[in-house]
This record gives sequence, C-alpha cells and structure tokens, in this order.
Amino acid sequence: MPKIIGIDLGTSNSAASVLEGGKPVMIPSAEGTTVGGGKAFPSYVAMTKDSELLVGEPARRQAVTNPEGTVYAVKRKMGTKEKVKMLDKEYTPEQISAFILQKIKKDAESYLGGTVTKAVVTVPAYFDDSQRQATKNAGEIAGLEIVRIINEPTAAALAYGLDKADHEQKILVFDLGGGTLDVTIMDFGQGVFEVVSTSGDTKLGGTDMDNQIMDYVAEEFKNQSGIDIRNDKMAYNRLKESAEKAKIELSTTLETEINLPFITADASGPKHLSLKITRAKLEELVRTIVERTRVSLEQSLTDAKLAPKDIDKIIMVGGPTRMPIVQKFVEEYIGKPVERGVDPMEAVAKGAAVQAGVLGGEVKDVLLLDVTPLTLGIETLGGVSTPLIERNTTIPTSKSQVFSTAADNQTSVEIHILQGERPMAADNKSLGRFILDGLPPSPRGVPQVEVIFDIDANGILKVTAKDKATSKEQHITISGSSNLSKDEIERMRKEAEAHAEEDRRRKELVDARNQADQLAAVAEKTLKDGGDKIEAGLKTSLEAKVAELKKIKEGSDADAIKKQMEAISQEIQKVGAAMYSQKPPEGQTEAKTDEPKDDKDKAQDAEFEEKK
Amino acid sequence: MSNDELEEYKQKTEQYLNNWKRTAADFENYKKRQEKENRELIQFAQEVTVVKILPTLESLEQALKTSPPDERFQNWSQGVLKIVQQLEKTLLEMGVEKIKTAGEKFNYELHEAVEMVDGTDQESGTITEEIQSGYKLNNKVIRPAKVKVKK
Repeated sequence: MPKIIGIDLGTSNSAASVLEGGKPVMIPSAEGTTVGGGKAFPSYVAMTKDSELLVGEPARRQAVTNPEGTVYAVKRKMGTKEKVKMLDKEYTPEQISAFILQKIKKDAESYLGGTVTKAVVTVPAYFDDSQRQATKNAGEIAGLEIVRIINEPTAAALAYGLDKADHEQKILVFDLGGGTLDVTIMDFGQGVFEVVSTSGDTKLGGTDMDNQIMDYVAEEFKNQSGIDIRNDKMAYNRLKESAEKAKIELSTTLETEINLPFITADASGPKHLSLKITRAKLEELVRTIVERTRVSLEQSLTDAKLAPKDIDKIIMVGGPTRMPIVQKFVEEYIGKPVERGVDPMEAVAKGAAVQAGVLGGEVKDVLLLDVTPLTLGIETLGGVSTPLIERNTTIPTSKSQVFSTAADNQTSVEIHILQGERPMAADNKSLGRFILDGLPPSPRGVPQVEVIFDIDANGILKVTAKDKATSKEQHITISGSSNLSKDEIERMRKEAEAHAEEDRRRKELVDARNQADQLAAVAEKTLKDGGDKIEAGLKTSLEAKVAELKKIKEGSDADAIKKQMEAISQEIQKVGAAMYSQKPPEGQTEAKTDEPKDDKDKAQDAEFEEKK
Repeated sequence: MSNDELEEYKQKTEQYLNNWKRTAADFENYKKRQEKENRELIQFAQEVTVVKILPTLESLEQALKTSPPDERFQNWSQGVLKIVQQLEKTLLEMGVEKIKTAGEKFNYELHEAVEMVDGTDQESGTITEEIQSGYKLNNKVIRPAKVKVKK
C-alpha cells in the first residue's frame, strides 16, 4: 500500500516527512542535504524567461534576477481571490502552492521508491474554511489527495507524542519562525486536540534578531576603524555568515569570537574585524525582541481564560526557539520547562507524518517491539557468565554459539541459563538449568555443542543445546525472562555498575585460571609426546614449573598466575625448538590439521563447566 | 468456535500479516537506502570539512588583495600567494572546484544573485562581479557563488 506523507507547507520554508518503522523521518529535498541547511527548502516558485519552472533553492537563487517571475510566501494569499503573476501569466495562490506540493511529491517518490498519491498537510490554527479549502485544492492540482488538513500546533503536539496522554491537558505551542510568531493554546482530551485560542505577531521573528546582531557588530567595527562595512557588499556578506555561525555557537557555549581578517581596507592599510561576543551580550541584543512575544503569550492566555499555571505542556516550534534565551523566557513566563527531544524545525512535518500514519492504518495497533531488559547468557568454565543475547536487543531474536567440553571424556554438559550484567554466574539471576547427556567420550574441546537462545515476540525464551556429532538435543522454555519489574531491572543494573571493578578483577582471575589449566594440559601433552626426545634437564624443569602453576592457580593472584604461565610458555617453546631441530620439517604440516577448517564451526574458547 | 470469533481471528490474521509485510518492506527499503546514504555520508563529511575551510581561504585571498605596494614586501606577498595556491591545489585534489563567475552567464544552479547592476556594456544576465566565491565538490554544488548580475 502506498504511503501517506506529511507535509509542512510553510510561508517561508516547506518540508515533508513520512512514517518509517513507526517513526517519522524527514524526506530530503532533491537538491540534496546542504551543510547548515536542514531538510526543508525555501517556499519559492519561479518561472524563468526560458519558461522553466523552478521550485525551492534554485528559485530563490535567481529571485533577484527575475523578480517578475518569482513568487515567495504565497501562503499569505491562500484563500483569497488575488492572482499572482509570474512573468506574463496569472496564477491563483492554489496553483503556486500546487507547484510546491508537486516538488514534494516528486522528492518523496524518489526517496520512497514508489508513487505517492496521498498526503496530510498542515495549516496555521487560524486558517478559515476558505483557506483550508484552498490548501486542499492545491493538493488536487498537484495530483495529491489531501486526506486530512491538520493544524500546525496539533501536528507539533503529535510529534511530541502528546496524544498518548490519558488525562486532559492544556498545551501551549510557541511557534517563532523567521518572520512570524504564532501562539496557540490547545485543550487535549479523549484523543482530540481542540484549539482554545490563537494569537501572534506577523512582524516578529528570527530575522529581526539576526539584524540586531549584525548591526551591533557593524557598529562596533565602525567605532574601531571608522569604516561602515554595511556599504561593502562583500564584507557584509562575510560578516553575515560569521554572525550567523556565532549565534548558533552561543546556543551551546557562553562565549565565541567573530574573526574576519582583512575584512576591508582604507588608505592606512588593511582592517581586521575581531570581536568577542558572550551569550550575555547576545541576549542583551535580542532581549527587546524576545520581550515582544509577551504580548502574544498574554493575549492567548486571556482569550483562553487561563492563567500561566494552567498550562500543562509547552511546545516550541521554529528555528529561533533553539536559542536558550527564548526557551528561558517562555519557561519563566509559564513557570514550566518546555518539552524537548524533537527538532523545532521538524516538529510540524513530523507530526503531519504521524497523523498520516494513523490515517494509513500504520499507527493503529502499532507493533510495539520490546527489548530484553537484561543480558541473557550461560555459565561457562570457572563460573563465568558468558552472554548470548546482550541487553537492549530488540525481540523477537535468536542467537547461537558453539561450546565444547572442559574435561576429557566428559559425556554430559550442564546448561545453566543466567540473566544479568555481572561477569560471574553467581552474581546473576538463575533462570533455569538442564543437562544434555550422551556425548560420545572424546578429548576435551572436541565435542561441539550448539547452544541456541530464541526469544519470541512475547518474551518467551527457549534455550536449546544440541550435540553436533550425535544430533542429540535438549531444551528448556522460560517464560518469565522479560517480565521483571522496573525496580528489579534498575537494581540489577546498578549492582553491575557498583561492582564493576571488583567483578573485573574476579573475571580476570578466573580467565587466568582457565588459561593456566589449558596451558598445563598443553605442557603435559608436550612432555608426553616428546618422551625421550626431550633433554632430561629441560623436562624436569618444565615438570616442576607446571606443578608450581597448578599450585599458584588455586590462589587468588592473577598476576602471579600470568607470570608463571609466561615462564612455562617460554620453556615449551624451547622444548619445541629442540624437538624440531631433530625432526624433518614435515612435522609442521601435521600440527596444522588440528584446526577446524570452517571458522564458523570453530569451537569457542569458553567451555562448559565440568559437570560434577 | 463461533462464526463471530472466527471472523475476528480472520481479521486479526489479515492485520498481522499486513503489519508484518509493511515492516518487512520498510526494512528492505531501509537497507537499500542505507547503502545509498552511506555513500552520500562520505561525500557529506567531505563537504562539511571543505565548507569549514572556505572562510579561511577567503581571508587569505582578501589579504592578498590588500598586499602593500611597498617593494620590500614584494617577496613576502609572493610567498603568501604561494600559500593560497598550495591550499587551492589541495582542494582541487580533493575534488573541489571553484565556480566561475565574472563574465559568465548567470546560472541558478551555480550562482545566487544578490544584486542587479547597470552601467557596464555587458549583455543582460551576465555576471559582473563576485561577492563570494562558490565551490563544487565532485561536481555537486556545495556552495553557490554569490554574484552581481547585469540588468
């Protein structure tokens, strides 16, 4: 079924989004993602003298060369009878909007790889019936069925998931764009958003703030150098870019520097612009503009017959609301923190996509995929907990790993299933255990037992152990693996953190012991295989060292074990070297055949705890 | 099982199957796009780097424009010019190409017009002056050139 997309058809910028895997994703404009610019594009439409239709960024770039052929901010004319001229031809505002929608349709189709025929489009809360109808018509002209028109503040609230609340709430949406402010108060209850009041200012926005900053810097420079760079296009352009950069930086840092060497020159030589700006200074510059939003805030509350304390949730929309001072101002006025987590530039388009998903039947009964709250694994040699499925893995999922035996002629293995983040089995929660027996007697490390963990969508864990040689298998089903209480999960996580260092040391000791066991076995085998070929002195020395290692490994000093192992390794190498010098080289190929050919089937180092 | 129940289960099955198909399709598309995006990401990472270096290059170019006429500085200016050329060569090797402006015909794919001017005897629509240089990276415009255009 083709997807329904969500469209934020804005006055100055437009953007689109679509629900993917239950989450809204922005649809990039065909011109590609540009550095610094988001996924939106300017709402410009143009007809060139060569009768070429341009929409978005290309239309904006040529606007100055072709003012009679370029239309901008047509949204302001929606629903009116006013005609718009592009060169010699007249268009209705619907037709111009349709060109923008057509571009979005095309971009969405190339992004999604299929046709797009339906969309949800947002409009300001104050749009009347004729304006809404005009928006619908625009869709029709563009070949898009507008299945629903929703209010921009409602879309923003949807993007924040405020429709999930089970109780009534009052939501304030503060939408500050490049040139306009819209304040909306909504009442949410029983799944419905209702606009209670709207207020705004059509001549207030981020552009005013930018101008304020530019003027300040230009004025400072004039005081220093006596030159007004506002008259120098090239210099002014450089200044504009770095002022914009400084403004963005000051949202996260407290001080930045505008540094423009050789910005201009006069008879006395080149001039450099270098100016430190603090966040405090920036806030002082834009304060009067931010203060002006108070009128609209007050108006919307008065109209809604509400006091600031009655507002439950505050949502910010628009680029300028990223500035800390704007957020702080609204937070202080209402007395509550603003909602966070959605890019204020994308909230409206994303909310439209959420609504589109609901209408397309995609959100209804949304498949809530669970994750495993804690790591699941089995106990291996030395009481170590070996993880099979890491925590936060999305379920359903399955994972398998091949293990082997720890002792010669071991005919059964015990599978002990564990849950938790600690490296040692004893510290984790035991979920169950079972025994797989009937393994044919063979040397340690030879049998291959595949352990399969499978968690279904309901969180039911099935653990299967299968001997690859005999195909014998055993399994256990555990149903309670994911229904731990939140507190319990939190407690187990905290414990793991608190004991991290101690656990690490214990794990290290066990690992060292396991390695010591293996090395001792290798050494003994070497001694046995070598027999008389090994020089007597070397033999006694190695035997003594191995005996010593066996003693040390019972202690709790991991470093001592490692040191002794080092000594033995060197000795074994000496023995090996001595033996090879006596034997012809074909012995080398013989040694290699021990390794399994297929890497996948190679038994893991971790081995089962020997069954007692 | 009653007919109603059967009907209910039928509907559920249908719905679950659809949800599954949808997710599977989402995932397929996601994989395809991820491949494409990975390629684009490399290009984008380069773009970010280049775009961040450009203001420095501009400062250097500006510096050269105002190099002192004094003979004593001649050699020094030559040196700075070489530095600029060095940087430009590096950028060229990375696939960065400067967009031609003055004397060219205005093209909205490459240029952004900031002003229309009279006075010159050039043909209408010709670029008279560059306000800010523009660049292409591997043939994609990463920053359009800002220009003045003959009316």
